[in-house]
Amino acid sequence: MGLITGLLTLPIAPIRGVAWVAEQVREEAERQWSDPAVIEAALIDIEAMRESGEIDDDEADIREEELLQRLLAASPEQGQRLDSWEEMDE
Amino acid sequence: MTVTQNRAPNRYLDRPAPSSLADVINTILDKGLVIDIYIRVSLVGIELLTIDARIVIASVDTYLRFAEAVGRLNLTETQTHGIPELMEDVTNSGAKGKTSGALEGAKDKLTDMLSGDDDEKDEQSSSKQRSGDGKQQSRQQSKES
Amino acid sequence: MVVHLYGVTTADAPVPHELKGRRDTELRLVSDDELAVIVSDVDAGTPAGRKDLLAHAHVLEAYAERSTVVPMQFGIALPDDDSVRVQVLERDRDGLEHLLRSFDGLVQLTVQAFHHEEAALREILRRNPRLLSAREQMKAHPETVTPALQMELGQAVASALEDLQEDDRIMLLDRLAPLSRAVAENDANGNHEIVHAAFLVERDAQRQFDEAVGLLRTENDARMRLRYVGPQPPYNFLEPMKSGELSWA
Repeated sequence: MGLITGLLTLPIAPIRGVAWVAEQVREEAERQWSDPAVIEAALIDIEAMRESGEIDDDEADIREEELLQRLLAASPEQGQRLDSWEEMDE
Repeated sequence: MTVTQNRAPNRYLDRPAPSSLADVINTILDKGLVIDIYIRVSLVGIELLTIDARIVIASVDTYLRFAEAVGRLNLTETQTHGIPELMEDVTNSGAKGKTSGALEGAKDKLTDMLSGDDDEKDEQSSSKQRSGDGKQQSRQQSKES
Repeated sequence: MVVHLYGVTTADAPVPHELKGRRDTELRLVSDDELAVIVSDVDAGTPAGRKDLLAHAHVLEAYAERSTVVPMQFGIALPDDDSVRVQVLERDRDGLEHLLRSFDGLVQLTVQAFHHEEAALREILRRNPRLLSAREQMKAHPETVTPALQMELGQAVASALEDLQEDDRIMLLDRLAPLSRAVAENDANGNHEIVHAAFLVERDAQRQFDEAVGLLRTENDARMRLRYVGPQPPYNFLEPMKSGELSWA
């Protein structure tokens, strides 16, 4: 509760300032960009829209592909594994 | 909803669906066998660092949205009926007058309401522990012989 | 060309009809007397898109309908069949056989449930008269509503929603767990998710499970959306089986 109260009184307390808030919001937005939970929820929405006919298959495919690439881009290990394989010296 | 006939459920409608992309990202990307020598790097899932401030940002947004959503609900009379005593108190204190004293009183009552213990909650015996502390948990059913 | 691996099954598993692998490639088996690795040949460095992931999963699900299959994670590829034999079949034969035996006759069925937000909000107001009266009060006297008060209301709503989620989660598990051999829950997602659980069910008993899910859907249609996926290989139960957390006495 203390944190929330602090944020609400922000305009009055100049110590952290607007720039700090803006930075937090930006970082949060970035985090959500490739958050697997967010991506999963978005994919489930697309599935529902596909089923209801709200979007057609091609459009759904395109959106799914975009989301998948965001997920893979955020996880370089996965991306690396998917693009190529290398033989390790034993 | 009243059931007027006893019908065997349509099995074909109840059949499970094949995986969609939403399922697939939860299964084949991080569950299943791997071969060590060809996987150089750890396959640990993405670790999300949360700073208190971020949680706060997300929470502020969510809480305000919930407050708004609940306010927007169109409730019929029957839905607000049934708590006559509380409603009476509420409308009485509001009707007392337009002085700031009366409004102050109403506001205090509201805060009291929100911070008070909820009788219904105490009666419910459901466990409040959510599963999921970063790992999946499995429960095994003991087979009855 | 490299050999993309899908999973491991028993050598006598019937091959699903007209099933194709990634990039529409032909599936084949690299096998010995007992075990078979399901593979297909793809171009090295083929980038992976949604079609590839779906193909991999659907190959496994086609096998899981009638046979036991231990899934490989997506993206495992080896240079040729010999290395498949060495790195998969011979490397840990005992382990593979143990897994295939343990999951013989079993399939995974996954259930994921979400609240419809508006219906959930109505339900929590119904269950929490104080919340309802607080809302009424705030609507009747908007001049008293400060941002702090709105936040409090929002928090109270969020907390009540969590309680409802937990109640509904327990209700769903109580109905379905008895029909399964084991249950493994995925991490909870936000976004009004109630539960996301994998059930290990006897293949012969799948129909009963299907019916139970259908009934839950009908009963709870107003307030929740159920996703039901399967039959799948035992994705969520491999690690517990390997670690000994799950075992058949």
